Amino acid sequence: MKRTFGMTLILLMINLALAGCGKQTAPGPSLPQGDQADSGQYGAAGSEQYDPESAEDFDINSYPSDSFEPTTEQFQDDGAGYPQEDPAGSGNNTGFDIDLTKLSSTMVFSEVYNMMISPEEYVGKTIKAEGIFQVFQDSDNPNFYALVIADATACCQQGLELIWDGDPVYPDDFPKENSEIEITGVYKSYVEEGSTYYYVHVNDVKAV
Amino acid sequence: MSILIEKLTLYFEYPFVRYALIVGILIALCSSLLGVTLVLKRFSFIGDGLSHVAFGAMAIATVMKLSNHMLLILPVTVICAILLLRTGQNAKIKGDAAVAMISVGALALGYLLMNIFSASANLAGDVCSTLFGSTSILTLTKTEVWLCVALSVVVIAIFLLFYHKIFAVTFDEDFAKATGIKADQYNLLIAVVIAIIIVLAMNLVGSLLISALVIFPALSAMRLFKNFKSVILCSAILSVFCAVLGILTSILAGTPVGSTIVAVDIAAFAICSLIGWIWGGVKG
Repeated sequence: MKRTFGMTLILLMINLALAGCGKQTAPGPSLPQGDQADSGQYGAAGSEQYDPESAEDFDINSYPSDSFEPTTEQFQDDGAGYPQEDPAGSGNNTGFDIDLTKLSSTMVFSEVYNMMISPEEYVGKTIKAEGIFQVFQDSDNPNFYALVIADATACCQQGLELIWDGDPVYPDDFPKENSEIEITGVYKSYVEEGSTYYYVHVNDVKAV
Repeated sequence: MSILIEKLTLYFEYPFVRYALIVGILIALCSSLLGVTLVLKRFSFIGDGLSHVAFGAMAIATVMKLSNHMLLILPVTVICAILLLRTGQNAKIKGDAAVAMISVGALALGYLLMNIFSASANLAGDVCSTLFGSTSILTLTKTEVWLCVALSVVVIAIFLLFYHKIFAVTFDEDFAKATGIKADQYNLLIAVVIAIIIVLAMNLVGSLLISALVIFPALSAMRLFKNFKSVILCSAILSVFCAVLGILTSILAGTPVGSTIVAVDIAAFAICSLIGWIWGGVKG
């Protein structure tokens, strides 16, 4: 009786497993498209469409944060300026060296952790990421803007410092604090009081 | 299915994913080998106690700002493993009481030290990450991978070299002693190896979940087989399979690595129990 029940159960499981092995005919992964996102964009007014090829033009290691003089006038909410993905671009087929929007939350946290541990390996690379926008205000210093990314258990967080071109005014020209945003830019570094800090030079921001 | 393969192909381009799989497989293999012995010797809870000791040692290493925490964690855990074994033989404090005492004591002291002296801005995150190993396995450096490989080779070599002695000590210690086997020394060796495995496994599943990695594959294999060698082999295969499946699931689904591996281990135990119940145990 026991064996009969067991055989029946296993046959049923095999049947179910085989039934689930049919080839999926649906198209490939539904990756997020920039123009599918509903909300506004916070793109620097003076910046053009983001071009990963021009990333090398940035002057890496030359940004002193205490002399930060943004020149861009404002962030626009016109829905334009979002970089279109280049399917024939870099290794991950998105046109960015590091596209964190294509990774699961565990992978994103791990990759950002590695960016913190070995930042020099990432300098100059183009990046696209999603996270929570946070502002750290200090009366004596300029505001510090960050993209915060949490791990799967939400107990650990990593923050990427964000710096814009131009002269954006907080809060009018920035995304809402604690809102979820998607940024594109280049990973760079600057030296302040003898220490090297790393940040994302933002080319474009979009609310998610 | 093609989406999953596409995603996995993308993820495997990241070195830390490859490191995680290598280390995960090695840790799973090592923990399963000794897991059977631990379960049979009624030492299942020693893994839990030692993992808390390792947490306490890690807290001290953090406070001391040691660049390589392993330099402190490993010797402290090995010493405690030896002490636990010795205390277990001492009538004054019974084995289970000693394990409980060292376990909660180390856990409390570790957290206290981290609270008082830690320079980190994210104490809760540090503690959470250490206890549950949320993404530790995906943030390994190349040096840590090599260290893990070396320690795993040592553990596997010890197990293979002393397989017959460990078998004898596991099943009948008195008989082993009567036949001239130095059972106390082999118990000591087992304790040291367990300590090494615990320290290694902290990276994979975190301090609180290490016991699951040691116990579940052994218990699952025991549902299917009755022979020691068959149980060991099945336990090793199951453990590696569950670790790989858990790591892949966690990176694909974005779930915490440690708890996902343990969840897969629990599912494997349930399946093995069902199969064992249906067949009444396959004779291995």
